[in-house]
Amino acid sequence: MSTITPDAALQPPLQTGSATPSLPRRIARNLRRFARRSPMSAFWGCIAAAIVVMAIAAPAIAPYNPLKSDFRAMTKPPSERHYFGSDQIGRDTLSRVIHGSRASLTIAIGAVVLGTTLGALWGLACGYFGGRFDIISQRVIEFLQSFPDLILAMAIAMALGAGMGTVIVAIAITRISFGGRVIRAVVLSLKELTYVEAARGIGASHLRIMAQHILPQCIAPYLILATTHLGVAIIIEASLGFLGVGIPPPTPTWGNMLADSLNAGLVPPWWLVLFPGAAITLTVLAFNLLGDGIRDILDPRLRGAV
Amino acid sequence: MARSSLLEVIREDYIRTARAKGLNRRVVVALHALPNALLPVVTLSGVLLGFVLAGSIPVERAFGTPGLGYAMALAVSERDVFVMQNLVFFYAIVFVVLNILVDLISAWLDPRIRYR
Repeated sequence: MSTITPDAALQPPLQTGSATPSLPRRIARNLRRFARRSPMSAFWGCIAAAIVVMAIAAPAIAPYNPLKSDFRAMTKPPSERHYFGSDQIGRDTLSRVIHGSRASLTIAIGAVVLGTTLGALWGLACGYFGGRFDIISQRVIEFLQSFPDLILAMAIAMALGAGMGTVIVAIAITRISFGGRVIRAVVLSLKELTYVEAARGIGASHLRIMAQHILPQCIAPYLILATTHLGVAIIIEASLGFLGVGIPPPTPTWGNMLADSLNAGLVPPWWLVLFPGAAITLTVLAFNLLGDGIRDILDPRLRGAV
Repeated sequence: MARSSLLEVIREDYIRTARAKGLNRRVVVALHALPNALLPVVTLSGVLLGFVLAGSIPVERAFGTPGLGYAMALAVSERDVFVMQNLVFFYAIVFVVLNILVDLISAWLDPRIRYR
């Protein structure tokens, strides 16, 4: 039996060219095609990329230290010194929004990758093996699905205690059921196809069929699922931070900033609410519309339709 | 969502048949097209219900509305595990019951859906 090469298994199925150019060129060509087919989602994709770059380069972009208080400017509206104003202990809101993107994106991406991957592998095994394993797994997934996302994440985060790892795990667990459901449905229809039967006829092992023949077909639904769920994960993360079970306070996250703004008086100053809120809205919108664009291109059922 | 699904349904043959019978356009849309077009909307609303239920927690916290969501936010911030457990359980029951209602409505809209 030959070894399974992970590169072959991870190759995107939309590759159509006759000659195979180098990987970066292939990615560039696919990106160009993506931009041509849906300029709108390419635009939002650029914004999403800009937000990711902002998160990575946060210390270089932010004008002030997000944790340092300036006692001469407490709860001051936006001005030339502090473009987004400052909060009640004089921290610069712009710097905090920029640094907040780090925590939010790390958690969202970490949770979605972890949760969706686990769910996808589980769904792959469920759909492929079927039988009692499938029935039991479906009951477990139904159990996970019977809680609203945020409430389950809150309960888990509270049970495990505060911290970045906890929040990632809590959100990841709520994502498992979605990955499991979708990938299982895909695998159920795939495993009846002739080429899978042929592979079994040749005598390929279960592992080889799953990794070589079924997994590559699951890449498209996986990508669609992951990008659309990034937005949900960001919202859940912000809500957790807002309710006080997210990352502990001194670290700036968008949810924490909104929670802090509530303590700034009976009616919170508008700049403390608007800017983190706008950051959340923009990020979620960007990832959702990017996900829609990816779905339009990768989903064979929707291909051609608008 | 409702618009795209209604546009899809309205192209079906039976809509043309109904119109050819001489039925009023309004009657056709209300009685023939709408029930079928509503099906995906109802299914989607089941998912969104969870979102709304959970979304009420931060909203009630932000506006200080005395409700279940505010109780939940309070229980979380005070690490009150028993209140938390019961509220999570209660929310799960509400969510499941609402989803059963959604399933019943979709079965009522489309008699082909039957529990096997």
